[in-house]
Amino acid sequence: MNSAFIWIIFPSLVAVILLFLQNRERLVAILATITAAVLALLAVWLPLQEQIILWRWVIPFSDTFLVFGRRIVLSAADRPSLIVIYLVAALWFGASPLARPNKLFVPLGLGITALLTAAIAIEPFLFAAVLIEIAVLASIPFLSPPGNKAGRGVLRYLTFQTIGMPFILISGFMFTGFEVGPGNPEFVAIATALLVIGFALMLAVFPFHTWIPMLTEESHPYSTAFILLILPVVISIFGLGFLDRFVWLKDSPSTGLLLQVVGVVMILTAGIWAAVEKNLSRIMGFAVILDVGFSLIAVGLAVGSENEFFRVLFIAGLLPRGLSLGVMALALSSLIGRVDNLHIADIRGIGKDYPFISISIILALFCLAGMPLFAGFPLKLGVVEGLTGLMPQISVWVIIGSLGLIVAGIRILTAIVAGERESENEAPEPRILKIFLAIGWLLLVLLGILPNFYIQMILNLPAAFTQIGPLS
Amino acid sequence: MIPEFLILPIVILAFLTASILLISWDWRISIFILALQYVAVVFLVSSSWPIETAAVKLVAGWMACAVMVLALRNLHSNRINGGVKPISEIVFRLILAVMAGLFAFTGGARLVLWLPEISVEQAYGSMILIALGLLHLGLTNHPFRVVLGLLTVLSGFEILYAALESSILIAGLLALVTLGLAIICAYLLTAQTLEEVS
Repeated sequence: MNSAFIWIIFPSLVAVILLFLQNRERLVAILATITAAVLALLAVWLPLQEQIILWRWVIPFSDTFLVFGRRIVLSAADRPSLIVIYLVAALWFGASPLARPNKLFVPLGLGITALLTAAIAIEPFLFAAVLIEIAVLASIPFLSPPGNKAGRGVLRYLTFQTIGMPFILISGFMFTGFEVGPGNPEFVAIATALLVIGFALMLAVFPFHTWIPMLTEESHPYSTAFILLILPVVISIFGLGFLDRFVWLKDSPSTGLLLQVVGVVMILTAGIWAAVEKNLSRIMGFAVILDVGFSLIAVGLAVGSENEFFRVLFIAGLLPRGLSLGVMALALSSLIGRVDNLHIADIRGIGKDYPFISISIILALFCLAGMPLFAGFPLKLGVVEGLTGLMPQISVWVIIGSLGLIVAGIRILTAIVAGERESENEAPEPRILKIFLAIGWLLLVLLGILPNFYIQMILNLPAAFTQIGPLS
Repeated sequence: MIPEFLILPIVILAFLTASILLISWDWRISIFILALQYVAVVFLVSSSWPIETAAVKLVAGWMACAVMVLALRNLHSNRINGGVKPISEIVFRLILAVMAGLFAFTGGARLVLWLPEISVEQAYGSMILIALGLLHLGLTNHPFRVVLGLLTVLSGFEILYAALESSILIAGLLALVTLGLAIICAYLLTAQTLEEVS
């Protein structure tokens, strides 16, 4: 038995089987949810030993899988990431029958989850860039489903991710030449520039962010939100791997500064564009860019100040992002077919007919903007405070960016409650949808009121696995 | 290893194929040229790898071409070709290709200083393909053309990376990416029709 078999090969096989069953959408969603949930639970409960005892059998267990002379290692340190990734996947697949994305979404989504897990585990870690690219290729069929012309957003997404991979592989090779310390300054500058461009392309950092709003506008909100959540998480973990391996890069004052400035630019531009945007899906895209900007600032602060608190803020920030995106994507998906278009002009007066959907959109946006009393607030406040301590003059721009997203939320709120709807309410909100959305609201508010609860949980998570001892 | 006298013609072949891809409007010509481009890639990669390993690039590239041919032959040519280009556009693209080639020529010379593992010919070949591939991507938003551009950029990168990394795993994964791009191209072009049929 092998950890790679459990968390990579097994879900990949299930994904292939589900592809053949794709016409039975509900069954596929149930099977994928169960698979992902079981894998998340196994990441919590499976003992970190060299043997697993099942009743009378003793099964040898290893955390390393050899493939063509290279290793895929899923050690104790990777367990928190496995829990997060498979839990997100389980929640997403579980609600998919309500959102009704393309029927390829669930099988390919499970396959992508397995591929991205392999990306976290592969050694040398640089090869992760190629696995991420393969995951991107696998996502195209559900982002541009049959019957639709390939949109510019999908093509730009494919282009940027594909071009990003070579930049990272080449820069990674150059970096291994000066693992201990930087050598020739010109050489270091070139390698760093290539690395920055590579990550900027893959993480949709300004000015390579344009594909996000285009993609959210063209594709189904639910499947797009899944990609916009899971891909940046894995790419960020991959990026942190770079910083952890090349200590001189982490210690360089310009690294932290660069991440902070880029983060601020992302927040400001996303906030301004969101404030004037008319399409709800595109607003969701800008909200994701804004949240990734906050993550970059948190990483920049963690690198610049050697303070683990900001690293925790970065990891903890993924939970509110996932929740808000999930709630918003589900609400937007539910609006498809109930309104003509996902434009502000087309949602006038829907608050009366679809109160749960309407409230969900507003709450999710306010949470992503970092509004007080919501899950995103304590973490974003921590990031802004940290930035103010270092560069008070630019932290103002972060607040302006967040205000931009709040303005977008207020514009949507005004349209929802103020206008009069012309058409009749033909499809009321299903009860199960209301339950899912209400659970989402509850969590968004609870995590905002009791942030210490989950921050403490995140702090304890890595320790829970390392205390037991190494696998081999 | 390839004979010394063949190296320069192969670099020129890489430039010519990438330039023709930029101006050709017929998908049959484009795919034939792409297949020819992979021959140049294999010869340049074989400077770093044994020819039997380098042949993986050729197999993957030709399979990608075959996948695209199978998908495209059933489609109406207007959906793929987008009509004949005016002569002014062809001239414009050729001028751009020459400029990109000159850029690659100067960039290749610098590249050898930063990455001493690669030979000058490999540097020129890879930079030409990367520069012209990026140029191709900048001039189109048609799925077929975008994938041609991406495959060209990727071929240039593979020449470069073969000199730096000889792992079989990475060779296999990159071959998978090449094939994956071709499959995605076929999917994006035919998806519209698939739904119409169903």
